Amino acid sequence: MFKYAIACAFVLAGCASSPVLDNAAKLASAGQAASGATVDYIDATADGYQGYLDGLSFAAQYPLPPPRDASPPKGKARAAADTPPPCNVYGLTPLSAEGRKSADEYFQRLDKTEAFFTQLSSTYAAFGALATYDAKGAVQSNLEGTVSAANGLLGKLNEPSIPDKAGALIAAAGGLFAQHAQEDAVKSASKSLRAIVERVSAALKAHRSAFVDVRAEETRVSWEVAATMWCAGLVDARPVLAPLLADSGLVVAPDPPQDVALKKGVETLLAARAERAQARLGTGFDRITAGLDALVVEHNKLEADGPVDVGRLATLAASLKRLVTANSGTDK
Amino acid sequence: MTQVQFEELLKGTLDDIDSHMVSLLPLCSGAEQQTLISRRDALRDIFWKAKASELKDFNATVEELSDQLAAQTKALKTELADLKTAAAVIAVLTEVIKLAGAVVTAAAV
Repeated sequence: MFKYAIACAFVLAGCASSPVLDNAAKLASAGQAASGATVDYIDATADGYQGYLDGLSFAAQYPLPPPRDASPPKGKARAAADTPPPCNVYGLTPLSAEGRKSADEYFQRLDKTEAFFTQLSSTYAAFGALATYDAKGAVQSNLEGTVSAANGLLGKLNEPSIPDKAGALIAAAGGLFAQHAQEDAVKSASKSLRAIVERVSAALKAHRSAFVDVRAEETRVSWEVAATMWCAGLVDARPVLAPLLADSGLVVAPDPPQDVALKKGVETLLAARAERAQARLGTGFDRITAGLDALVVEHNKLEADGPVDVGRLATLAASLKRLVTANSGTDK
Repeated sequence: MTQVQFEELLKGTLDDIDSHMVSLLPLCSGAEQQTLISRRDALRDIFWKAKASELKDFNATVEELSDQLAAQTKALKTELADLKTAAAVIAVLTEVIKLAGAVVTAAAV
């Protein structure tokens, strides 16, 4: 009798538990993790833009390779110590003012994408709270924020906006018990959230090539800058050589001889790594949209009282995190 | 040609010319080096312009320009594969830039 009274007190206080609420909590946690991983991934791309600009400016300080009509050096005079070697082998130059203006405009769009996922993560946190206690107020304001962030992004993509009312949490009529009211509120929030996620996923997919091409441009230039720095003798190649000794138990000599074989060998390794990095470019974007699609699928299951499976979402989030690590240079 | 096909063509051409710079620059005279780099930079500006714009208005005129662009990029590929003279590459690249710039301007909404 006493246990029953305690249970009733919890139910009436809104601390209900049920398969629907448990599933909502699981989905909320997975949605938050997936959104967070996406924010980190987009952040890495935005950071890459600054590296792109800096890399171009840096490499441009080096002279071009000698042209075919260059006059041969006279006598045995050595190049002055303050003359940099002709290592700008790709002829890299800083972006022009016009190119910079366009690139800045593109990255403003990326900022809006990041803002949307940051807000989405916060909304999933509130959605999780709603599955635990009566957090309708927090969910309502977060849903409104998500619609606003989604419209900021859709506007930059020249896509039609989502009506403001899409963020309205339909007031749960409530059942006889607090638990039913809470389940209704969770399902209502799920429908609103699903509709927003679905729209953003479709819009992002339509702009896949822009995202992937920009990553490709950043990546290509970063490897060209690396080649410039290697040519100029500014780079310690040992970390690139170390994986070649992985199973041997040996380590690279602290000061390997700087001969032609080493120069060519490192150039080959750089080229191979650049190719691998290019192959990964579409992967991150595809995992972002696959994550959004997986969220939509699980929301549908939740709204139909079915069990949710967040395994795929967890895999996608983990995979995005690995890509961020790989692109930051720790696992190339 | 769709927007996606055009963007693929543009990015592919930029990558193509860029990856050949290592072999092209030593083939150039001093003046040709400057011209080649300024052409490559112009193509890069068009690439960024295309990324920042919405290229949706693929009308008949744009289609015609795109077809001409596709033919010129094919010619550029041949020149880059042969690498006979830098002047020949620069000449075709100049045409590519004119056409790509015209497509972006005409297709932007």
